[in-house]
Amino acid sequence: MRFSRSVWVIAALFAVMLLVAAIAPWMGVRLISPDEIFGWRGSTPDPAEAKIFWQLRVPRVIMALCAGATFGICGMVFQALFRNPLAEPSLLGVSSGAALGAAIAIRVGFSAGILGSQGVSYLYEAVGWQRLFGEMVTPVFAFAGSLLAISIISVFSRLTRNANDASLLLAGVAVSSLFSSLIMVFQYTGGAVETYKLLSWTMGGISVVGMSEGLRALPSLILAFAMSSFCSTELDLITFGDEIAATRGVELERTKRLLFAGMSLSVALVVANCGPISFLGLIAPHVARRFIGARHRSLTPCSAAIGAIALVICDTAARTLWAPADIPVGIIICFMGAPFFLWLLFKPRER
Amino acid sequence: MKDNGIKISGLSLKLNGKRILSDISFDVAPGEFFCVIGRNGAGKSTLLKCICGIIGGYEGEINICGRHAAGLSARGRSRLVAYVPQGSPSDIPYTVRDFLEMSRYPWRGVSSDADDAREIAEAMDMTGITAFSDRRLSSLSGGERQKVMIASAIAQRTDAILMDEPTTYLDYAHQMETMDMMSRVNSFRSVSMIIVTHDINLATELAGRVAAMSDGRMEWVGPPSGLFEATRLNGIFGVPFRRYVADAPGGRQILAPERAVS
Repeated sequence: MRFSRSVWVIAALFAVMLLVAAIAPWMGVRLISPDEIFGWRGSTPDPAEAKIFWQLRVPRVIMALCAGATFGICGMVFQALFRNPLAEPSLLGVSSGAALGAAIAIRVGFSAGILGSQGVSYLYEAVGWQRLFGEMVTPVFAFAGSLLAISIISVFSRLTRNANDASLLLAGVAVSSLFSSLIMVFQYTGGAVETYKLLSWTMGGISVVGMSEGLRALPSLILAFAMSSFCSTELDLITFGDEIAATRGVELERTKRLLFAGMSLSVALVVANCGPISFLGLIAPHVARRFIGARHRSLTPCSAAIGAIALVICDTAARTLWAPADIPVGIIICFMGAPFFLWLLFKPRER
Repeated sequence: MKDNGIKISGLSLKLNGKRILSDISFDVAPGEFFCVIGRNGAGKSTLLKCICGIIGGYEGEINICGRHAAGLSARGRSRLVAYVPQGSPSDIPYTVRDFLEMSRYPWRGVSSDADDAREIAEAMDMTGITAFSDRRLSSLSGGERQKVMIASAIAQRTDAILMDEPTTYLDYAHQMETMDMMSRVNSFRSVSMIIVTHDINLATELAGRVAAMSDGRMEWVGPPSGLFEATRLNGIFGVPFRRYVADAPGGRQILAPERAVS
């Protein structure tokens, strides 16, 4: 009976998620009606609208789904690993590492544009690298940046043997703060355009063109979901503390290292594409726990669904509220998330 | 006879250059009730943590059921030894039943769902927690939570259970219940028990043998009657003890420390 209740909750959440995902792409600067795309009710499909729909809006919703779900799962795993309800990916240096990478990419990109000779850019154009490089360079640098942050923290945890969770978390905060200061140097010394581009990137936003870009966060989601589902009982036991987990048969060192590495990779890939969307990884698992309790077997799909729903809704709001302006979704997440989270915390618990 | 006791020989441990345990050797026979007493900081809890694999990097040898503990995987070890820590985390959002299900983790893939359910039901029954099996751990009192911790160790179905001061934070009623539970598990299932305790009277009443530790060394191992010998406890705790005999037929003997009155 308990089991069937969790199945029911998960099914309901997934239904809501699909519904939200099905509605979102029709909304935007201009409402698109299904008639215009599919040519229903005798109207002829409009190729321009169809292009906007299939090349911009649908991929963007897919990206939001995958990214939101990944943030939800990774936040949940980090909260269990560090036994800290405040843990979230952006606390652990992963996001700021990515932001530093992006800052370098944007800065270097601009400098190359200014310094690069006419001949070089012709060459780029001829080979088609210009486009490829221009699109990929920021995500690739961002990914490298988060890998750097992760490796610094891992090396630190390996050097100080018996590093406890609190010191690992603090190391993340320290790395985060170090990288943030470097980003600020870039922002302060950069030109206006560069600084603006960097600033809007660090606020977190989804912009994708074409289906292949829309699917970029899917590997993250698959990795995060598979790992946390596979390790769900281990995560449960780790919540009880190292002593209980170790004496109930969990290979602590190996499990923690594996989960930390896997989740960091997932987040890094998402952040590289969407920027550091903070708060979502914190809030989604907390909401999910209210729905379904603490067991990670059912909490994993729940956190994923709630993260996905929240990001799709907020992203839709981001591109419709001040249309035609497309404001960074990170702002919306924090703006809507913070009061909601406070309400959740102070709402009297029923039990 | 199958070699399924716990054998410890020459166990020494240094943590951050400080000697915590030195050259400890003792055997616990299958089904034996073994108590470890001693002052705070004598190394009792550390000894338990070495046996159940929370602390590694020691010298010497720990043998569990004829196997080197150092060579066992976490899962393999947790099929042989269960551990009840001193105090337990209180802010845990899981239900009692969830927690007991987790204590079957070492047997995953080996035991069937039906076996797991039966072990959990038995453990709940033995500890009297069936009534609140659907409540969250965070909503339980300290005494109830301690019963759940013991139930979890029982459900783990090991050859030995190690407990670190199981009665320390409990009121008298819960202390008595906990002692009953321990002796029930010990006698019905012939599980070896290693209990670290400050409660001398628990040791004299339940233990088959008692070990006294001080400064990381094993000072004395013997039958509980040995504790009644003249200066034994004074030597262990540095406080004079007096023996009281109950004013009832059978006359149970109680040991209590004397306060020096000037």
